[in-house]
Amino acid sequence: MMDLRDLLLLRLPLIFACPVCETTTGRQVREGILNADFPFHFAGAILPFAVLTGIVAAIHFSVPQRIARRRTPAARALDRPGPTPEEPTR
Amino acid sequence: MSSRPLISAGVALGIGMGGFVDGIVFHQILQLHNMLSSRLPPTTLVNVEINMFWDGLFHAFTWLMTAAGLALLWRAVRRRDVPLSTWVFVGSLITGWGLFNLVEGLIDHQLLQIHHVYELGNHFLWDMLFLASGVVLILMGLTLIQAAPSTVGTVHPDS
Repeated sequence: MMDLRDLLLLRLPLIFACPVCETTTGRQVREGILNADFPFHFAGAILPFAVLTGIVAAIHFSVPQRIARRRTPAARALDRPGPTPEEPTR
Repeated sequence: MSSRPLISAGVALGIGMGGFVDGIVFHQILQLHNMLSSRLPPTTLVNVEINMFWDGLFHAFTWLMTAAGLALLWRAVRRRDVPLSTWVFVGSLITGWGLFNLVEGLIDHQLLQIHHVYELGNHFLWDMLFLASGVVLILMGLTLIQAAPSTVGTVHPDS
């Protein structure tokens, strides 16, 4: 049962269940993170973002030009100058 | 005139926001899975804490992607040769979200199998639905980008 005095004094064991805490649970957590599987687990966390960063870079530097060229007829129709007064200037 | 800077910014932001949807909704609110929940089921305090660490790292990378998207967006809106189309931007956001679901689903769920969308029961079906949602979102986003009228919403804030 949580006691206010324990909470204020940070004496609850559960509070110390963190990777940097010097408790039995804290040590187990740390060992569960920093072990032989760390590279594999790190790869699982970073690999999707590495691939996605590559995709964003590819889009930024080349790919969307091809997408932009493949415009739908409706979009091309809207591109044509119509009877509207004037287009906004930049 | 080039939409590329706006598209890359929107895609990066969409990836980041898609990652936050996954992390906030699936990892935290619904608690359907965690980063390593296939290898370390969150059934003990130690395993929950270890998963929490890796979830935090996932969120850190998601935050970095979002920050990169904001930086790209800032650069894009300051350029006069970049049409500021809402269709293109929203389409790019949706495409980014779809890309996140597809790439993260393929790598973490299928290739490395460190977690699945739903760890209990038939996770294959849920994983396939997640991948399918990625494909659908990408197609929706690309459709919006291609359908965007190039002269709509191109007024630069400085003009």
